[in-house]
Amino acid sequence: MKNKLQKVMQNQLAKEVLTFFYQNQSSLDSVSGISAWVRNERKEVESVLEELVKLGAVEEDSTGAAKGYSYTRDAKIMKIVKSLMRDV
Amino acid sequence: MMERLFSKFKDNWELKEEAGALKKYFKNPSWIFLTCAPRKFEELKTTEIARHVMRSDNTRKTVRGKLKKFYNAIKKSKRSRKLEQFQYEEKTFGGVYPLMSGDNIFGFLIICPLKKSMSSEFQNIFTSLINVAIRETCKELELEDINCTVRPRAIALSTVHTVHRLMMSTLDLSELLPRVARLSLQVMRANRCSIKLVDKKRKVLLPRATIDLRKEITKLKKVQIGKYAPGRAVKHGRPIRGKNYLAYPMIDEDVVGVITLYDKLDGSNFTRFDEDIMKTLSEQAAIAIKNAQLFKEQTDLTLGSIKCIAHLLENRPHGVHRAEASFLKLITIIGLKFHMNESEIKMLQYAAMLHDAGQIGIPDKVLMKNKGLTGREYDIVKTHPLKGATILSKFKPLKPIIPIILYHHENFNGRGYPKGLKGRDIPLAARILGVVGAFESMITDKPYRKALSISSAISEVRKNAGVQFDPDVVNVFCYAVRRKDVEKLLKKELGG
Repeated sequence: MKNKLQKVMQNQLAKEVLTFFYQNQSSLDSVSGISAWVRNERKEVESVLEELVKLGAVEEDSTGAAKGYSYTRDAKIMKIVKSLMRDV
Repeated sequence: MMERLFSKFKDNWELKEEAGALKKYFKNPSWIFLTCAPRKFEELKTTEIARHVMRSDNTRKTVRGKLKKFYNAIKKSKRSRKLEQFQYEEKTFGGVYPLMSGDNIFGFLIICPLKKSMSSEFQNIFTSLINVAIRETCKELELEDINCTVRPRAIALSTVHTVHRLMMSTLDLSELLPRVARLSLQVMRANRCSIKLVDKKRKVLLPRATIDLRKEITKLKKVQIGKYAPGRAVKHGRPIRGKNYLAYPMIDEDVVGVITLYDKLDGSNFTRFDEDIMKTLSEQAAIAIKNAQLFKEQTDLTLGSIKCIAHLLENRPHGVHRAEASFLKLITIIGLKFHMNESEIKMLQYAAMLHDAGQIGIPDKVLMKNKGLTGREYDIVKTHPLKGATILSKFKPLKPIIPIILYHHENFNGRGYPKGLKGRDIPLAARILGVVGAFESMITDKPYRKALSISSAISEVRKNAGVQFDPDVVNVFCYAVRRKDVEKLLKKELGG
């Protein structure tokens, strides 16, 4: 898992999105919201979010048209992200 | 604030550019920064000047034996609030400039040794550039402060907005309550969340949703109002907070229920700030729950009215709705196979229960006739879809089922009634109801004939595929009616 996350974080945007969630762990936001916080294009942020959801670092809550993304609650993944953030 | 301004000012890139530009002109002077003016000369001696130096290569040498001169020049510039020049050595000069933000001095800049004295024009340019750098730094600090205070609040506000959208997007309580629990857990970063709703009659809190990240199965416990943290929160209408729990009542005019969170993920205690977040969350949850409860009441009322009309129809002498459950099951299976959504299927079910409502307007003697109908009588019978649609159109929630009722006797070949619609011009739901309605009629006793067996009725439906019925619907019907669960239900309802 650590290797996979490390690989994803080579992408600058993925690193910024994950850093945003790491620093704002109570945040639960839409793609547009997160795009605003990391100052990037919605489409690109959406694809990065999908990747992070697949890896379990970000959780997706969706219902109908509404979608919300938030930081993982998985203790193991949180630990890995914490160590990666230290390395950054 | 002044300390932050001072330390940020030292790193101002424009200032560094300026130092670079002056390097040639004044033969590489040192830039010495002091955070404040020393009150006594002794203070200056103990000040770690070197710590505040931009260029430290020759600072020690620059400072050695010159402290008294610095002290006097600083005192002078503090009074005049202007750049003050002083004799550094016999042929060199120095300058002290008070660094000011508004009326406040936040430090001093000493620049020395200068190979020549600064002309008054040069002094003006130099001080203007320093002042511009100070203003730039102040702006930067201001922006930093705004970012520090506004950004977390904006992020929190955006979270509240997203939570609101997610909560309000369902009116189904069984879906809503676990979602509220999940969202509360996420936003509060807790391990467990339990949602209990008030049962006013029994004065208890009924557990309706619980999520525990550490356990797969959690016990759902009923709680008396007034007991434990959730019960007390509801009784007093205010949050009850302990080190590892926070119970927040959901209030919308009256108390709807309580959200209780336990054990934060990072092991920290619940705080006043958590209460503030939960206040917004619980208010939103209360509104969403009330909406869902009202919607359920309205749906129950609609369904009750439909059942009431269906019951009246069944109790007429020619009532036909004997196989209601199997009939609805068939309709649902076929609807799902045609990718109908939940609401379309619900409307199809309502239409199935009421499709012959228009028979209320047909005289009993026609419906009860045990011989073939005359042409005129058949014309009267053919008016029942229109009569049914007219009666039901008065009931607004049933508006979507009007076309189903109106066209369920249309034939696929265009020879049905009332409009003679053909093929896919007939709404899909009406085509489905046409097949299932005819099947139900065939397996029911009529005044003019005995009920057909299930297999004979299925053969009859098959025979009419492409003529009376849509062949695609007939295919799906044949699959559905042969399903074990449907067969069992049909046998049960038809008495073996």
